[in-house]
Amino acid sequence: MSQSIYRTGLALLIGFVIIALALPYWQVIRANDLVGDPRYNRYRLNEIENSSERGRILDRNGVVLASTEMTPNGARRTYSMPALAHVTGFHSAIFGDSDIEKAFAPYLQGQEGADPFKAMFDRLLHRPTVGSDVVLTIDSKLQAVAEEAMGSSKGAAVVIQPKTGEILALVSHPYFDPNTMEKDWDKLKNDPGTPMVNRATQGLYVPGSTFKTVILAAALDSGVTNPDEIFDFKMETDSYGRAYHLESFNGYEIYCANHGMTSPGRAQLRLADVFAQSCNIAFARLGVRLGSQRLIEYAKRFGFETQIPLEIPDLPSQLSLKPGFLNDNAAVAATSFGQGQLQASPLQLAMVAATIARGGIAPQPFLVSEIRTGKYSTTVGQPKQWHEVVSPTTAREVADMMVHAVDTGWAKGAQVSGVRVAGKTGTAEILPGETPHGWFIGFAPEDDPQVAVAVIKEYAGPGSTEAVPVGKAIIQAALGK
Amino acid sequence: MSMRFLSKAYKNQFQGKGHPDYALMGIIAILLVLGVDMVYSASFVIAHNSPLYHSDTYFLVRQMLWVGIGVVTMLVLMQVDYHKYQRFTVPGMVVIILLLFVVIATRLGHSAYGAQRWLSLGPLPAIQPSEFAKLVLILYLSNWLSRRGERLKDLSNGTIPFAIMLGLITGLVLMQPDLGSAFVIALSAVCLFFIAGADLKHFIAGGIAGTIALVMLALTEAYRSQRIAAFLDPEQDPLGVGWHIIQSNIALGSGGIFGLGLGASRQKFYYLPSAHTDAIFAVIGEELGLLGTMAVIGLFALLAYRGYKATMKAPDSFGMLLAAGITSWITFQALLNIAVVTSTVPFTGITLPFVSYGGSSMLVSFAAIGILLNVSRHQVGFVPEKNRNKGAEPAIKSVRARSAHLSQAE
Repeated sequence: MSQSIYRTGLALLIGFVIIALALPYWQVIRANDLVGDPRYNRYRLNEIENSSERGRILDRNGVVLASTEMTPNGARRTYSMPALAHVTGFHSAIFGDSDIEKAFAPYLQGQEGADPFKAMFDRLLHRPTVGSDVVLTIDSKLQAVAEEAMGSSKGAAVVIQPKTGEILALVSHPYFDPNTMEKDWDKLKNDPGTPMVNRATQGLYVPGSTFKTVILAAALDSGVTNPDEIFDFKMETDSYGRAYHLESFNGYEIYCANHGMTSPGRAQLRLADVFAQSCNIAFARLGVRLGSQRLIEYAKRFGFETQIPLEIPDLPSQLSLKPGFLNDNAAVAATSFGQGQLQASPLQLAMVAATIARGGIAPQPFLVSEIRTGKYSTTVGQPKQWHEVVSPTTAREVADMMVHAVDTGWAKGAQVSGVRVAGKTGTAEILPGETPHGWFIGFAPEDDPQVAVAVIKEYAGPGSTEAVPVGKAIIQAALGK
Repeated sequence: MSMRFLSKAYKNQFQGKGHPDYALMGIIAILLVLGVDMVYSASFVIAHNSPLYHSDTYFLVRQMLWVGIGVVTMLVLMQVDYHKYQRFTVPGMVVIILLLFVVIATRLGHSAYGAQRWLSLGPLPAIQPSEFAKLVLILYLSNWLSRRGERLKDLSNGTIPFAIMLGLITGLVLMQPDLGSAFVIALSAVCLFFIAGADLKHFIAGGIAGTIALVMLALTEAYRSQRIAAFLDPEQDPLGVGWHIIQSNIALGSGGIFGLGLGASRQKFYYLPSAHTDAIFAVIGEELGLLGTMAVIGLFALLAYRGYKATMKAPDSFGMLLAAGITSWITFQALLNIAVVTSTVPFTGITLPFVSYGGSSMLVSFAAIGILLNVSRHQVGFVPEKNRNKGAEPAIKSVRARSAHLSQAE
């Protein structure tokens, strides 16, 4: 009899083991999907609002960007720098959360934090939880400088520390005031200036000549050109007396007057000069030599067609709107000088500058560095390489030519005395008769990069006069010059 | 050997005057504290909102009342020598069969959730005869099996009468209809039959027949086959039969490791059906997390361990079978309840002993534990503390020597 009792006990033990395994499956492994199930919308916002003090959002130097005050009418969230609305996002009982307020809500609300036991005891004992603070990589002083330099123009600026990937400033103009957003919602939503759109990460623009940096890097890295190549042009004079060159690519005629020449005749320019002068024909030639396959491959390595990993929403930049567009050499030629069907975000172009600055390896950009709970802190974002794009040699050659563009070319306006600044301008044509977008991308100092930028001013005019001064102001402020 | 040569201490054990298993009482006490807490937490929403109940504490008060009645029952039955039940097992069985018939046959049955499991008799609280059937059948079978001895291995003297009795009771419980209880009753009875020394060939053949019967039952009743389909893929009918499963999974998942905190369940707000009865374990998972659910499993595992320990030390085969039957039943019912909540087996309504809300279930579980505690007072091989240093030998050394000894002592 005793043996059969042992056996019965053993059978029941197996039952216990099975359910003891089923529980961690539901409560640990599947917990996140179950809480994320759209049917699980049991969070009563008021309950959480009243039982927790939402954490603050701080800049890299501890400046408070968002904090919650308790008033007799309930909790009120205040934002000290509305210009950062597109980074901090908003926190609203009516419209929900956005950006960092949304992505880090569990930390800000205190459900998760740097001290796991505190959250557990708070929950078990029903103590009001104090949310954790979220520390950003943003430098609010640099942000203010970039903001001021942009003036009232529409557009965006992205500033990255190229060695680490930290985003130091993120400007999107116009912006909204998250302090009064609930009241202004209808007005903001119908505003033709679209202040609720984050242009820095979700604005897609024709990149213009800044894209030549991508083509230059691809052409050098794949060996279809070298820094000593001489480009030959036969210049003519048009009815206005300007020296120009005309060349046809599969029936697509490109007119180019960007050679720094004033008289007709034979022109011979080095690769560095065609880049500094931003010659469309030279880049169309390079693009055709590369061929659509390699062009697409290199652009993708720089981040085109993929979503760049970031804590706030961003859109992938695009090489073409229709599939198969680049099968035609005319389209390849147009794409190579930054037109065609290209669509790029300011974040993407800042990443191009940061990748060249970092020696051909793209850093992974991030906005949040750590979470602070009382005296504890946890590192959330840290310097990481995203992926390799071009060889270090290629990156060095491209960087030299970007310095050349600032020293002698269209990007002259970005010169800062005593610093080797690398840059490239862009003037993106939209439709005939419309004022083009002005672009600037660059980094400095060339020998020890501390800052990489991308600036766009929408419908403002040439990059050299519109965007370059903003880029220069940001570089100066970042380097303390 | 006769009784007068045995030590006084041994005689105390034999007569059921030793101390009861305090560890077992402790386990039950912890389960009760947890259960009453959780019943209140899981039921106050329904109690508050429904005009039927008037008060937030409607279920809490009733549960505490039943716990009080249950504790008294347990303390009384703990004192009653379990051998005294032997005489009443047959009349008890007759009464329970009648009650089960009454529920099915008469309009006295007051239906809830589409089933007729309750029986209202005048001003008395409604009772659920299928709960009482569990204990009565275990008492009956323990007595019957212990008297069969070797004849048990015989087909016509052992297996067939057993199968008829089991078929009758489970059939009646199934007609309540209460598949969960029928399953628990059948499994506990089969456990007893196995422990009592059934013929292995008959046992396996019976197991196969039982499985076939279960499959037939599941397929013939539309709601049962729907539950099986929902178990396999709850998303097919997420608002219908899949609802229970999805909501209890969400409850467990949202509790995570540490839980949302006592009283903080969100699933009890009409999302989780039967939150304070059959699904109480899901609320424990949501409020107390993996730590809480693992603790409950641990408590039931300890209960099983202490129960089987008392079984091994029981002085005669009736006591052994009684203790084994009660332990297997309570453990099996807890396992089945938790397996349903964790979607390990298809849905069936069954309470979690000592934790779920429910008067009949609470009272019967307490009565059973009272009997088990009395069995634990009749330990063999016990040496009182004061005699241990004097090198006193235990009166009977092994379990195997016991039956021989008992036949001589009688």
